[in-house]
Amino acid sequence: MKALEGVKVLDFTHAYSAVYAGQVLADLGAEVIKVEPMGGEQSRQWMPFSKAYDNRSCYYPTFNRNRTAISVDLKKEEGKEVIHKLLEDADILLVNMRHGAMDKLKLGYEDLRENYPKLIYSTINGYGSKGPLSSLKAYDNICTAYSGIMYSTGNEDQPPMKLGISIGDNYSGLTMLSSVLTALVYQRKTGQGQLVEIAMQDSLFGLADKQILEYSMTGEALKRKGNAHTMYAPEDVFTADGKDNYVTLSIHTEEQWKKFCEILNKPEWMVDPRFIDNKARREHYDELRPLIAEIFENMERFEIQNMFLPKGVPCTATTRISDILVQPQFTERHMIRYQTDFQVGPLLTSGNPIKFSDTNCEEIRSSKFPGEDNEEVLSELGYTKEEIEKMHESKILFKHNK
Amino acid sequence: MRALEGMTVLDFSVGHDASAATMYLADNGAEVIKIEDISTGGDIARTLEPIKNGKSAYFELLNRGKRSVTLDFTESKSLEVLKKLVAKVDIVVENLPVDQLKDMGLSYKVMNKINPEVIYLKLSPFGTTGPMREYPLTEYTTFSFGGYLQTTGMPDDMPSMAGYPIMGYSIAHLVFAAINSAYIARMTTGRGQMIDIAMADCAVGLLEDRYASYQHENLDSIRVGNAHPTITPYDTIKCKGGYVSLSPSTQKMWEALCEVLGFPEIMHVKEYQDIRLRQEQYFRGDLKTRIENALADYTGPEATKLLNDVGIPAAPVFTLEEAYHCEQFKVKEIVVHKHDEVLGNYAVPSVLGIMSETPVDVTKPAPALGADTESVLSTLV
Repeated sequence: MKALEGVKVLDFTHAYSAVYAGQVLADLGAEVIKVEPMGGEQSRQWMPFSKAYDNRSCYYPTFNRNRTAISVDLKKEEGKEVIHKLLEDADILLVNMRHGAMDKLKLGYEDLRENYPKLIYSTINGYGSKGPLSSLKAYDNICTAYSGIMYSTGNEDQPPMKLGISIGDNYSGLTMLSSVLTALVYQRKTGQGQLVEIAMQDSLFGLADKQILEYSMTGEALKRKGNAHTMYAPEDVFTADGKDNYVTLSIHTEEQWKKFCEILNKPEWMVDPRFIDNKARREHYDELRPLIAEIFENMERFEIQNMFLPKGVPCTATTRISDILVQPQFTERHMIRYQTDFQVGPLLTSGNPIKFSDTNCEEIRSSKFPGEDNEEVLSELGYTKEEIEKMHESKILFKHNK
Repeated sequence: MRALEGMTVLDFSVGHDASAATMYLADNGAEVIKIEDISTGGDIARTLEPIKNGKSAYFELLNRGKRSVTLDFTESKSLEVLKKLVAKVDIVVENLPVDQLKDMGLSYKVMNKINPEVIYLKLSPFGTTGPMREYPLTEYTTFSFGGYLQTTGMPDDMPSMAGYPIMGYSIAHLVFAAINSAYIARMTTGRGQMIDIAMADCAVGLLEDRYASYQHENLDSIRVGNAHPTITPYDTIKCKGGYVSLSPSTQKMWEALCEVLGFPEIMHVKEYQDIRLRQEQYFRGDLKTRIENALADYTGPEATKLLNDVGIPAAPVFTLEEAYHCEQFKVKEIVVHKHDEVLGNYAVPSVLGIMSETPVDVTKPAPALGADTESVLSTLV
């Protein structure tokens, strides 16, 4: 049995943020029925594309594995009826549309809560349902700018830098996942559902924990200072040999510093008053950094990592995807996977990091074509074969011609 | 009532990540009993900045609502106490060095025998299996080894670390989700289990579509600064006294941009019109300069209004202060003000989902070292 066997999720998500929450719920064994618009969800048009498989999008298959997929016209009454039948058994509903969009379809929380009291209705949007920004559509970089955290990344002489991964989407998806499961614990105990609202701007703001503490206590906020602005020294990024290759070093204890000096055969650093403890090293970091940099810049990054990491000194190579794919550690942990996908062929992807000893959740099943499961889902709801065929003909349901 | 009332947690977390996960549990009403090793001075987070008058505000934020029991891990009688506690709780969480609890005599096998319903979550840098299982990780080294650092920053410069613990909090949410999942599974199976989570696994599991991009487009963790691999222009532009982020992602928005910024004549010129060529013009031609010049006299909020008014998504890059004081957060009470005898006034963000029936509570204080030892042990042991 998988961890969330028996949990039923109605998934109105699109693109990324809330789709991620749905994906993990599906990976953990919930039955996740993705309800797509006629023609399929928009991310089915997004790159990267699989040349060998009709140039179909690999984006949708990456984020929509392990799910059931139906394609319904929600503006039509008969389409809404299908949803209402599905809602009778549903534990969770996920959506990431602009605030008010589901209300227009009469599928907002207020429309549903009375008839479906156990339903956990969870939304992600940019800014929530109250306040002057609440009508704005969510865009990852825009929300990140409004959250105050973009400002703190990058060097002093650079503009504020976004991360290479869309954390607005990622992190709000993670917040939705854990919050929805919290609500599910409560629902299982009391039979009571509720509304769970996630705002991208809020979730991101919460990441600036230390800055918020410092600002509220001293009136001063941390300025963008580059890679070496933590409470530790040395804690920084260094150039390694070759084009665009780096390592990070993260020394947090005196024990690690001593070990670091021993390995480099620099006993004099251990007794140098400029480097004798963390406080001194922070003060004199401008003198320490070049000493380390000149050693590392001629060494291969994994060579550097292997000198220190196995001996308990946190120091790692800065990896590319090509490096991650060949780490024995990730093979051992089943984190590098090929999804056998019927839309795009064998798809390189990552596994589930949550390893249960009893309720194994390692299975990865193909994503679906638009409307692929229309017949199966509707016949389970009691619709006859003829009724279902008619609904396809009158464009209440959409099914992809393979 | 809060959602997780009734859940009891024996919490060996130290530092950040696992403690953030149990903080989420406590915020939702779980009873979280921190076990701190007095022989090492307790949770190392008690030494994290910002520190005021000898007390760590960071510890205070991460450990609010929890209780603290101290034991001396070097004394053999502590094991007996721990076993008695395991018998009474739903969840055990820890991120101690990978074999520490096992070597102490408290392996999962032992825990399971004492309490077959107990759920044991172990967070470690690389997991309990694999050639790297004993190696350490920090926020920085996870961001680096996990594939994030290579993709962040300007292409022709050193990559940039995030200015906030995105790895730690992402991992905390996965730990939190895993605990809830196992608790729910137990309602059906009646059994506990062990959950093994590696920080490094969490990191590589959050790399979006980068694996597919590598497989199908041969893109191996390129850096694009604030730009977008397929949408141009998409950037964070310097303007008066600050910056503005913009993302005109459609043809209509591109045309509106050219109009409103005063260069409509280039709108349909091949070198700017065609998406691929436009990227050339942006990075190596004059398109970026045109936009910068047009916005040079506008503040972030003014530039935002100018662009929003013609349908182009844009935002001023708020500093932390500006976000802290923004109207949006005031309305939703995102910044929660607290007071502590030693720290004085301070604030914490309340940013777990807004839950309509079981609101989260971030207002409780964190425990002093060992403050609850007597009361917890006399009740449970």
